[in-house]
Amino acid sequence: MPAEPVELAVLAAASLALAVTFSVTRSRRVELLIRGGAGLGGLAAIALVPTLDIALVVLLALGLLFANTQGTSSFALRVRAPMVAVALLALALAFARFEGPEVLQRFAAVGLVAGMAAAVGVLPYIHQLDPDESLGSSPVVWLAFVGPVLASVLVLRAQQLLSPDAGEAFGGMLIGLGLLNLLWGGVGAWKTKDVPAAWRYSFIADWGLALAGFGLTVSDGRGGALLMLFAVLLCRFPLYVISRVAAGESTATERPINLVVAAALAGSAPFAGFAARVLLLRGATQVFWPLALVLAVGMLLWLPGSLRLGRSLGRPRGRQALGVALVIAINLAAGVYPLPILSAGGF
Amino acid sequence: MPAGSTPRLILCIASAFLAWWIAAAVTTGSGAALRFTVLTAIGLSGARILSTDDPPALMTSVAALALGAAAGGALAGGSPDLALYVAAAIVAAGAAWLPVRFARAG
Repeated sequence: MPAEPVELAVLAAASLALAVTFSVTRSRRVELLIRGGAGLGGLAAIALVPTLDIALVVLLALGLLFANTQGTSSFALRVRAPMVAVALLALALAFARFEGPEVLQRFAAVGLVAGMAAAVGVLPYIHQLDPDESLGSSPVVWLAFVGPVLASVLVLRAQQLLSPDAGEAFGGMLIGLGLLNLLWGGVGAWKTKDVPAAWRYSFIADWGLALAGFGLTVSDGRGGALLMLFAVLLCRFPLYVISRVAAGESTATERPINLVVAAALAGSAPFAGFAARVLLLRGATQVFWPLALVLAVGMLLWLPGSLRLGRSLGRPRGRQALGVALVIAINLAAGVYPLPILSAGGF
Repeated sequence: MPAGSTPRLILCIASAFLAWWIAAAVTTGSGAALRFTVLTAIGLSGARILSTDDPPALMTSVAALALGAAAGGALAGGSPDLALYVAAAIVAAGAAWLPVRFARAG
């Protein structure tokens, strides 16, 4: 049983529990619990099934169910991204299995990277976001909930599927795509006018670092990617849910709590994102030191966007304040002592 | 991509090259029928999903994609994975049966 996807599925369950607890109304909570529970079942299946072919069929079913939930955008629009992802991944599997020239393996690597990007919703396949969409039918679900487990499964299976040369190409493409998303997401979260869009871009920036970590073939890089996905699931996603509540209630404020939240979102010490960044920089230094330099410069882009997102939480009260405190405490603990998370993932 | 536009022309030429390569490389040798079926089923259903907004056509394409993806499992060699085919058949049948919900206005 692969340790990393299973751990991420457990973290996704914890993330769902936080999202349900701190959602605004009882009806929304029930709706989120039903949809999230179905999604979690799909995630568990993707993590546990013995072959990638069955995982693709499960992903297809998950995409179909997601597209068929009631929402403001059309069924065609919502079904497109997951189905394109399945088609690309299925083509990648087919190319990996054809007997023929080495270039077929490289086509397979391209298909795996493109399919992963399409499923998660990062560049060049960013999903269309409607700010009024409910959380259960928003494309953020793919970035923040389904994506981490799926990406982990795909990276693990790709290692068994691809030849060594194609595996190197796969890693290189992940690093390239990661850097692109890191820069695009960082600048987008900073410069875009719309706060929901800024949140979406901040997820994309986090994914940039995670993809770069997956692409680094060393253990530090993979461990950094795991901690980045931890931060997506148990820091950014619950805070995003709380910010959706705040969006309907109050205007942006700049209290100490907003600055602490901004620090957690930016991956400052001593939160979980900081440990992830240290591991990623160590991994990049081992592979190709100029890459560490580019990553370090890219990491600075988190700061302005995170300050903005921290302010968007307003002044959390009651259940939401408790939620923010819990998320901060979890990320503080993971940042100070990340070893159990890394050990559970097999690092 | 309107008719006569440069992107459409480039897409046509690229598709022609791809078809030529498929004819040359994928449809020869042993197991060619399966390789050809998998590629065309996945490629055509994926293209249809991208080109239509009509729910029945989308659902049909999704069903074909599920079956095409499952057929790709046979390319791996070894004994057939029955669980894969059963899962794909359930999803394909479910896609045909599932009532499509339409977008809520506003």
